[in-house]
Amino acid sequence: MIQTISVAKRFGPDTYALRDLSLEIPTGCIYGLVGSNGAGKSTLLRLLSGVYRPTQGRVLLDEKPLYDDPALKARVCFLADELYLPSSSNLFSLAKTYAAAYPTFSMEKLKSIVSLLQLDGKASFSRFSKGMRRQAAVALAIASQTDYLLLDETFDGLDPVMRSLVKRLLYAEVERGASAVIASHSLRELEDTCDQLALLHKGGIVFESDIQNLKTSLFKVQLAFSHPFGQEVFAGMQLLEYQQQGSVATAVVRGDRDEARARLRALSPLVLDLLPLTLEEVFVHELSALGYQFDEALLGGEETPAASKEEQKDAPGGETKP
Amino acid sequence: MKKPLFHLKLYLESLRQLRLAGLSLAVTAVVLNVVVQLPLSASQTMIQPAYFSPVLSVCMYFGPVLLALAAFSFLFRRSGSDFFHALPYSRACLFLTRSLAALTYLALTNILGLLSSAALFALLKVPFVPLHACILFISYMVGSLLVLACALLGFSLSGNAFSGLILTVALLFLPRGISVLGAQLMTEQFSRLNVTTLSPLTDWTLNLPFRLIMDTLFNTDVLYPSLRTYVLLDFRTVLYTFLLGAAYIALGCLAFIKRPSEAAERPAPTTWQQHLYRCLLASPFFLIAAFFLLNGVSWSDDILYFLLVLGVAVYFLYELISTRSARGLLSALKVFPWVPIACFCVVGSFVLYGKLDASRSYTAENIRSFQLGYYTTDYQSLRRSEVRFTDPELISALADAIEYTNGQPPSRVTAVSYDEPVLMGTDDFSLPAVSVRNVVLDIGLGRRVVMGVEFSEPLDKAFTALLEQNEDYRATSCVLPEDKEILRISGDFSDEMLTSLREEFDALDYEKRCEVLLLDYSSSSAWSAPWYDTPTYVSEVPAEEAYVESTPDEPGMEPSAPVPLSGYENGAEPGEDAWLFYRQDGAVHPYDVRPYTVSFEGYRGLRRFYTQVQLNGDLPRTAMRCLREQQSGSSLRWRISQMRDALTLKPGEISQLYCYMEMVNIPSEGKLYGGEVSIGSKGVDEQVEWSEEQKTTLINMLLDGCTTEPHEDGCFAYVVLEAYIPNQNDYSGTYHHLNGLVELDEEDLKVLFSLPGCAPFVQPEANG
Repeated sequence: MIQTISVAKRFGPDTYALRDLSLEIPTGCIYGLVGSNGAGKSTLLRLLSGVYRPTQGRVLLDEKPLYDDPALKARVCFLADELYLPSSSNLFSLAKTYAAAYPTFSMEKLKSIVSLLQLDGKASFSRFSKGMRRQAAVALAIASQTDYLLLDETFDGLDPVMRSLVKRLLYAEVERGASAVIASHSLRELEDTCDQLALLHKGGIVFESDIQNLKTSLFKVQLAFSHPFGQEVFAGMQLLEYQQQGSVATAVVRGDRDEARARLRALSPLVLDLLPLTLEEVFVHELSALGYQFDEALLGGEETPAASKEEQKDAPGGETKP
Repeated sequence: MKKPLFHLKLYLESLRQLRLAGLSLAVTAVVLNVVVQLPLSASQTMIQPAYFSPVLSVCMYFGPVLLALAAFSFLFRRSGSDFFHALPYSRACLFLTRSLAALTYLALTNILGLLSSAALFALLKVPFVPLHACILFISYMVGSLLVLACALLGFSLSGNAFSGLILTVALLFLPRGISVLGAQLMTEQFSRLNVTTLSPLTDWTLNLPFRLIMDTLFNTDVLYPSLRTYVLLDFRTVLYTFLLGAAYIALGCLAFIKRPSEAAERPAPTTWQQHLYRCLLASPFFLIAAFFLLNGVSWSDDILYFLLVLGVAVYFLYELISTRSARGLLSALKVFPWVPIACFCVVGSFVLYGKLDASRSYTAENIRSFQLGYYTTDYQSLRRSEVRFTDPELISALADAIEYTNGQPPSRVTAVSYDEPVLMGTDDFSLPAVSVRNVVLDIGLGRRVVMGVEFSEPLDKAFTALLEQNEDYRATSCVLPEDKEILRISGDFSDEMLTSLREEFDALDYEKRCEVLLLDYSSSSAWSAPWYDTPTYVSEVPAEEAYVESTPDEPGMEPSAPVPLSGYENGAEPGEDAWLFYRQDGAVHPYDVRPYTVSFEGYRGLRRFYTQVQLNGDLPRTAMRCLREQQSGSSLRWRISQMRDALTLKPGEISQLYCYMEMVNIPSEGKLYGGEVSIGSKGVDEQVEWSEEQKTTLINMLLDGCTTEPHEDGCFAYVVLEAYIPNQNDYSGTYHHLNGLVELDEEDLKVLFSLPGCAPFVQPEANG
């Protein structure tokens, strides 16, 4: 298990990319890190991979400090958002670097993945498109067969077919017992991939949960009665949002779906529909409940783009000042 | 947690990754080496170390930087830096293993360069000494190591290629440059200041890459052989350079471990480091300006403004180029005033120290004892510096000199010599001539003062006379080094010879001992290294050009080369044959003969020394042993056989034949004589009127005698044999020249004196 305990990372005298961050990444799962640009996702992955030394706090793998420990680092493979694929090199050539570094690296596995992805392993990286470069990097990381895969914006530049292929490969890794940590600024990317999700905002974790729980605990209810009615029909249920137009009401409810259906059906409505929420909708409501604005947290708010550009120069991971 | 410092797989992988840069470097070095070496080899009769793969001394600067860039350029890109730091290697392991891979390619480059040269020499039949290649390999590798270490440290302390390269150059040259400049200017300013106490900080000859550059700058001929030879074969320089390189590698490793990955693409890991680098780069200009001001350059002088403008330009240009942004100029501007302030403070503190030092006075009453300073590698000087003089008369004479020194201006127009106390004049004729001695004063309570003391001519005479009378001084002056102190003796000097030398040397009186010890000899020890006399190939002296060069411009004049046996006296007794013995150091140059000396190198304690003894008639048994040794292992044998083939197979083609002999121990009527013989003619138009048989007889006799060991009591001659065979088809020809010692028996002498025109110039006369 990878653990961070009160980790902070500072760039320069007063620029904090992460502050007092604690989390645990269990084995055998796909862990999603979502957040706007500058939220600290890349910095967190670099800390988890031992690239950065934490300014304070500890990053542990199986309760041992990870930084500059070759034995522990051999169990972690990090794929940065900005890929290191020298133009003069090719996939099989770079594979030798991986093979020298990772004792678990499998050339056979790489060849099978390369074949699956229909990449030319002997072609120079300079001839690869952005998507192909990403695929090549993912192939190398997966072929390393480490216990942990730390992937930053992995699906960036992949077409839907390739995205699906890569996801399948990741699932296979999880079945092998490995864990994958995927950072993305797009919630939709992670929605159908991750088992667990954490939302980073301004260098801290705002929200962390199991996706299945998230999705099933919140649901949308559409309801209509032949007589006038109000919110009171949801009495005894945790109502997160309620809207009514004429005789039709729409509400977002937290709780047990079957129980809610039974209680509402007992009121003999004309219409009763219980609909699942998208992950994005779940996040909107969960964050609202925590006092955050969804746009601010996930998209960085209105001022984010300008601030992000400025701060990226100071903070290498594209982090932001808290 | 055990972190290995070396990872074999990473090393092999690094070798693979660096192969393009490494092999390109090696191939380029070999090709350039052959191109440069070819004309050099053709003009040499024996390859000196400086002419052995000279291109490698250029590669020493560029190769390591190229390979460091290839191995560590990932530090300058975020993606690369993250990638390599994420790999499961400890940082120290990553640094050291990749450095070793870079060093491997440097070794390959040097080996291939030297091998290509050796192959070329063998192909062209040019004489060379294989051992030189081994020694040069060490020198080139050590130089490369230091440059590589500077590059690695520079790269680890920076974040982009520009600042990395600038720091590399700064690390390589700045510390040594500033210390040398400061020492030089301070000694010119304060003659009493003893900068030699700061050695080796001020000794720039210790740093091989720096020294090669300095030597090149101060000599118009880039490949000037003697200096480069000395640098490349100087053990002290090689050792210091190696230690400095190793220290820089260790520092580089530490900096690499501490360097955050996020420093990539920035000019420096932290803001304060960027300030520091800017200031350091600009500081030399301000320091020089401050020193110039100290040395009397006025503010109206353009050079000051030039330096200041240059300093400002370097400061801000570095900021602009390294950050590629004008954003940091404002913060740079805030720090800028501290640069000239700090530089002027540093120089000011030196001035203050110099003035304080000059204001101190010491009288005979408060000097308990004194020692003479040790400031050269001379063994005698080293031994004398160990004597603690307590003689009141000597102390009083020294106190007089100190008083005299205090009365002199602190700075002299011409820098005075800190070497042996030689009377020096100055450019300012209002100042009297002085000599300077460094002394170490004991002023009681364990306090010691090191200072340069100036002596006027009368003071110097009085002080020297007192020294010469001092028993301790005489006991430690003019002595041979002890066996345990000797690290190397020049030539093939056996234990028997050393024993013989000690016996004869010890039997001499003090004055004679001082005569045979070449106290003012300061030549490079490299020239007398034992491997110098054993070339693998020796070619004939080639072509007409050599003849033209070695022939005097005006007919009738002797060549300007040293004339051997100048101290020869007629009627020498056995064992006291000639006053001076000469040897030929090799086939480097036909006139390259010099007095036969033996040099000793070694360490007394931690101090390196060098001393030299001239083997002359005062040491007859040792001298003769050495001559025998030289003849028995002569490197001229091959050349002699070549000469014999050329001259005796077609003696009719010899157009000019000349032989000059200085003979020793000629037996006649039961006594021994000496004499000179001149045979033939050196004039271009004159022909030797000898039969072919006579020519062959003479040549064979001399060449045979050359390869025979001379007997201590036998007759031998110093011979100069010159013959010229013109080509049939053009005006060129081949010139054959021999300098050597020739054994002559009675039969030889009969034959010799029977040849036309062979009567000795000095007729044998009865001796005593």
